[in-house]
Amino acid sequence: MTIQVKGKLLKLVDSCPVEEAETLYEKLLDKPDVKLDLSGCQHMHSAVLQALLMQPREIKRPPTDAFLKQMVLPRLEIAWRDAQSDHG
Amino acid sequence: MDKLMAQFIEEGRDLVGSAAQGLLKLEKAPTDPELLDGLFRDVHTLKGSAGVLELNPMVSMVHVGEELLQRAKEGEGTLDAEAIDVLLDCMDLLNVWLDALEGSGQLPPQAATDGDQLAGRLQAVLTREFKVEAAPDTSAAEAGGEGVSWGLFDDAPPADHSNAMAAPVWVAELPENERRELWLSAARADNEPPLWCLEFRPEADCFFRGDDPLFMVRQTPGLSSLAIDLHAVDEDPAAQDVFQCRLWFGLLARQSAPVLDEHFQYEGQTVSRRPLLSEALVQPSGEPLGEPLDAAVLNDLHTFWAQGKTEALLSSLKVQQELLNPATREASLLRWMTDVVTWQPDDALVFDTLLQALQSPSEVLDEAGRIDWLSLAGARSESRENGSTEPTETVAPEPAAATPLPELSPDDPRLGSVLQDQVRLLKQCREPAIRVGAGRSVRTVLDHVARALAVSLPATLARTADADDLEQCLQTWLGQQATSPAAAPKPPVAAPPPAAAPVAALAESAPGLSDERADRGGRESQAPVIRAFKVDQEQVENLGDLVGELVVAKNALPFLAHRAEQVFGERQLGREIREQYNVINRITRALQDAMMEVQMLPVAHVFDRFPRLVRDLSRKLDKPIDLTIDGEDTEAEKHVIESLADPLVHLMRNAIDHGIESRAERQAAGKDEVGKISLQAWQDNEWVVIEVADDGAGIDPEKTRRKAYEKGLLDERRLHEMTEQEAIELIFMPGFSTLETASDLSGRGVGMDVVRTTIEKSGGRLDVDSRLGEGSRFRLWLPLSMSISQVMQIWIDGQRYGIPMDQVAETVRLPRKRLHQFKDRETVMLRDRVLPVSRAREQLGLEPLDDGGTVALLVVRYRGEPVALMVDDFSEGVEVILKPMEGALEQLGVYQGTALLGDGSVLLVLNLAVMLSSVKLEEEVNDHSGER
Repeated sequence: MTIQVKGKLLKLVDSCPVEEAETLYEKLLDKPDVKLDLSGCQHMHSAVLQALLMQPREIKRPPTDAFLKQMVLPRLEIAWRDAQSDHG
Repeated sequence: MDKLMAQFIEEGRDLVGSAAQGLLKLEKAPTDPELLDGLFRDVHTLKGSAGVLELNPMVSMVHVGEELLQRAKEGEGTLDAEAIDVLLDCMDLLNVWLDALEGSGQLPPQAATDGDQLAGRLQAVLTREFKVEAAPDTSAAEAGGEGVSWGLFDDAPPADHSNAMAAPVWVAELPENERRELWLSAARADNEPPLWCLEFRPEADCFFRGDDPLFMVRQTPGLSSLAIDLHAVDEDPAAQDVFQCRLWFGLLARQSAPVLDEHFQYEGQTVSRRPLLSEALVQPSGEPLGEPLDAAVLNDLHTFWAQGKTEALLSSLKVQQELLNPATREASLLRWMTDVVTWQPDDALVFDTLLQALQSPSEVLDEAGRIDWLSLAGARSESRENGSTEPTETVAPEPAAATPLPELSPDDPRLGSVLQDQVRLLKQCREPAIRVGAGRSVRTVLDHVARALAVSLPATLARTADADDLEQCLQTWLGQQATSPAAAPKPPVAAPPPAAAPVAALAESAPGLSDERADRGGRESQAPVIRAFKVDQEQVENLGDLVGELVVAKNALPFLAHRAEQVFGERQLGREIREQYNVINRITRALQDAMMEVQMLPVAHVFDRFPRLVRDLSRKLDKPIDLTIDGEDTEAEKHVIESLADPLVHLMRNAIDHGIESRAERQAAGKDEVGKISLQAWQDNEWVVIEVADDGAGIDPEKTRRKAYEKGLLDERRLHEMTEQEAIELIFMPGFSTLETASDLSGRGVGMDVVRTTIEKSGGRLDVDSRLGEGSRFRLWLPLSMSISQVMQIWIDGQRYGIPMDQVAETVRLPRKRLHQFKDRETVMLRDRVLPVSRAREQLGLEPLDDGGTVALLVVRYRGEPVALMVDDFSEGVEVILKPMEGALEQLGVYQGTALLGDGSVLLVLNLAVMLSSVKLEEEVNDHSGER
């Protein structure tokens, strides 16, 4: 499993394959207040990224992978900010 | 050349010519729908064909041109003289490319850059002329002519694709620092690859096909910035299907177009690509301050900028930035201004626009707070073009039609002989099929000349492309007699004026084309294609020798590398020489193979003589013989075939003379009266095998044994030890002849021993298999090729020798004490086998080596049996051309031949068969005398 839930932290590790997108999405729906730990994530399949964009959560620990950090993280943060302002 | 390519070049020239002509007509009638239709078709066909051949730079450039024409065709705007200029430049470039394709089969190396540049200019025209028309994200698909398909999401565009040429909105929404980085890299360096803006909308079911679009994006070469969006998302989160892809990606990539296209080649129409002007990145971000900046500050900025006081300007900008909240739009504008002043101080348009945005935002910025670079880009691209030094752009744009141009004079010095060349071209192209093209070509040249020299053509040279008219008009105008064919002037010595360079290229391409066509037309009907030709054997041999010498010369490189390393201490150089050596090695190998194939002959060349030989002999000896020949088309190198002839004749004679019994004997043995001899050939790996088999008496081992004993060829002990096979092989012993009376046929002079030695000298071997009363079978093995041999180098007494590699089984170094003396024979125990040891020094009559410690043993195969040859040292293997010994040296049987090494020294290659056979024989004789 590349998706681990520890208390209020949802952790993505290694390379998250397409199969885990559904699990992830369900967990996100389950736990609206979970925070994300992407520090161990090397790559996420598009479906996983899509799940994170559909149910944005606050990112507690940013990814260390250069591509995810530079190119993907800002979009996830924007999605989270937008979701906040929608609710607020 | 590839047939498809040849066809494309021919077709391409016609299309380019026709398009160029269409463009010129279009200048007069810019809205003529027929002209536009024709032009669009030409360009569209060209793009399609270029696409099939994967000429990416051509496709990308033509694509933009096609789009431009499409817009014009649909009445969205008109193509003015300048637009036509750019399009004509495209046609010129296409002609240059077609020439290159014809010459080398490839586009010139700078094609991508040139193409991108022209594509950029076309883009600028598009931006300027067609900016008002909205083209909802269909440009790429539509221009491709394949209809529109954005996959499954036509209902929900995720981002604004308002105009194909405008930078999409998402670009402006990228984080300012990312945009700034990209802009800076473009501003700092001129030779950066172009910046492309890609939109990638994977299909909804792509996950099921195993695609990972994000991975695709991640791997994009030159990826500089990324926007991600979701579309068509359901209201109810629980009803979402996470395996339906709803992602959309916007990418900015700094990379050449072909590389990008290759990366996304399997994504089809889910990806669109368009160039991005670097200005599009210059967008303020953040919320407006809500109040205007201090007028005095703005005034300062204005003044400093106008007076070129860069330092004062920069420090003023810095102060203002410090005063402002960095998150405001004003601060963002100031940051951009700083960058522009620092990196592109001559870009007045961008700076002025930014300053204006600061001063009166409503005039420059739209509702979303963005600068509309589109409306400014036209002016911008113009200023850029004028500053460029690209040669095709030096052709001055045609001035407005209102100012009449001076008429071209036939003795204008700038003309050179361009016009005379045109007349010559027209004279040469008499055939109707090519005359049309020649006419068009001349038409184009004339128009280019007029434009390049900024003159108008005289009325006589009206805008006709008809070759006859043109020829007549040109000749009359140039004062030549239409009937004097010799009037064609020599090509000019002086170079044409630089402005006419593209014209000259065009003019040159046309005669070449016509020649080619004329040739083909003439030949097709008559001569068939020549598929094989006769070459003098000597020429082929010369070529073969040269290839051989190349191999030897190539072998000098490792020596050189070694010297570079050991003598001059240049390890890096040595390594590089070795790398080069590997390349040359690969090519020479291929060359050798090709050369060998050329020199291959079927064994039929030798076999063909045997039916006659058998017939003659059988009549003479009154032995009816049935000869069957098989595999006569087996091929081997010419030298091999030649070396085969004599031994084979001997074997055949032996079979007839000694093998097949007389009529009476056969009857007595209950055999068919007619004797059978079969001659077969086949290839076995690197060997040609020839088999001569008879159903005669076979060899009687008892008889050979006795004979050998009687002749003193072997002693009593050996006589009894000998196996049957060994006894049979006694026939190969020198001085052995079993038949009481030698017939005049097989004779006494040449025995089987000579046959075997001859074959072994050629690097082959001869086996015999015989059954008493049933017949004998001789198998002759020869290498396919003799020209190049692999030899292993060994050292004996400070001298280097070679041993054919195929006879070497292994090399070992052992302590001297592992050698055992067994009676008078030296042996060594190697992997549970006792091998006889032969000392090379002894064989060559040299002093024995006395170095105590270890011995170097070369395990060689001698007639199928391993023998350990003691040498001083081993060295590496090498490819050589073995030259047989000549003259007096030929008598030294111990040498197979000589070879020239890469370092220039001569290598003596040992003949193991001779060397080791003499050993045994000698031993046996010693043995014999010892016992007596």
